[in-house]
Amino acid sequence: MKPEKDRSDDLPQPLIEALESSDRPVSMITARVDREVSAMARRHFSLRRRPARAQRLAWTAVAAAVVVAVFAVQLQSPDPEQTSLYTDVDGSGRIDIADVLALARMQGTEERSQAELDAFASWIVSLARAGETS
Amino acid sequence: MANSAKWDQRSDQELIRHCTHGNATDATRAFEVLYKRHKAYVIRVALRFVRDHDTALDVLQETFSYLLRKFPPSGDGLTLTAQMTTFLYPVAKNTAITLMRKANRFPAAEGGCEPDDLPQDTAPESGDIAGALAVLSDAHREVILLRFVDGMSLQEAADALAIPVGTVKSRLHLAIRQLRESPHCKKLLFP
Amino acid sequence: MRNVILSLIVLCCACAWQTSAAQHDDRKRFAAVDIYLDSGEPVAAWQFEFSSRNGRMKIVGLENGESKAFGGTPYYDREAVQRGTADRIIVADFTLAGANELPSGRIRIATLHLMLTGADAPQFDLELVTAVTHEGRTIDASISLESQIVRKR
Repeated sequence: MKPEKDRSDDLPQPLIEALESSDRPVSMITARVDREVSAMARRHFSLRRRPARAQRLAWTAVAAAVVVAVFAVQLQSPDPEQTSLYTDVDGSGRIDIADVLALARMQGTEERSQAELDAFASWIVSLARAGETS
Repeated sequence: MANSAKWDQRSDQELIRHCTHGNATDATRAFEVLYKRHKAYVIRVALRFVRDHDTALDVLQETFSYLLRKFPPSGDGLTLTAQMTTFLYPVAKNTAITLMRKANRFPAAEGGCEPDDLPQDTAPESGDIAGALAVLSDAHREVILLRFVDGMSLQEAADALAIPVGTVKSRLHLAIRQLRESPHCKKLLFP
Repeated sequence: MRNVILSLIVLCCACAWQTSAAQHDDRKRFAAVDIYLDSGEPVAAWQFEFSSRNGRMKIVGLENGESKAFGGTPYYDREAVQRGTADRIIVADFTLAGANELPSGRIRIATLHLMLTGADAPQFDLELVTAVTHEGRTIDASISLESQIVRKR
């Protein structure tokens, strides 16, 4: 969203740059507000009209099926590393940003939240993690 | 956090639609994306009117609380006819002014508080942009920031300020002339 | 006794010279280093590692690159950079933008802001860890750097 070019009143570019740098976003820790806004949104939208009984039953059945499936998968792969989100998703032999992309592109029930993808990407670039694995 | 919302390719209009018509999960997720996408802008606007970071964070929360109440079940939903920033700007600004009043740090003037009454942030310094901006009235400074920093068109600035486009034009014209004639700006342009 | 005094004077001179040399070596300079990725195919994710071969470098900031498809700052270890302890850095980013929006050719993917100490010319190591298409296929891309500004303090 930039100002249109045909404006009659204009400022010299150095002034615009100085204005932009003077109004640069400050780095602020917003974790508390992030959590509160998120909780507020959940509370607000959860008050919407609940779906019909049949629909609720269908969702309950799906949820039960997912729980059983997750339980079955956990029984088959007891190694916690295997069930972790931070794995070699694309099978390249190493864990890097391409795995986050692969995970993000997964569709359906495996769809990941933004927070999970951010956490995975942040883990990949973490110097402490790289120090452990190198 | 800056990365959180960027991979969500939906436009603000689509997200607003999800908040209005989506189920609880979709609406919550869409609202969170809107929040993450625009929170830095709201903080920036807040800091133009308040001086401490804690109050700016309160402005951030209040602004999105106001937006949330626009959606069902409490509100009828929202149709975005302009940029999201044009909608958020007056909310953040008014919230900032209200919070400053409540904190008694900004006593209300008779007949209400106008932007011109807002306190100056810093003492002007020779050759810096803060000094150049300090020569402007707050109403003029506000329109300069909306236009050249927030990148709003004349119409968007008029919408954000709830004033006619002609008023924006005249304020902008006067502000630019003052800035060009300011010794601070001359120092910036010809150091 | 005269020998002891002479030794002390020599010692003091040596200390003074060493202090002066150390001050000279501790000069701080700031540099901005542009990182370029050169790829024949559209890129949807990339990752590189940057470090100094002779130490004496701290990463003090990072800017995003020029591609609109990768909006916002890339992923990097913010805590280490904010602590001022990052003498190397891993930077990565990905996008879910459509294939026709992805950048190709030579693009600036990030700018690193460094604080250099010492009189030696800095020597950097830059390694492209991966670059992939939107389907996740590895691209045969190359990575290079250009030092933009160096200011002395």
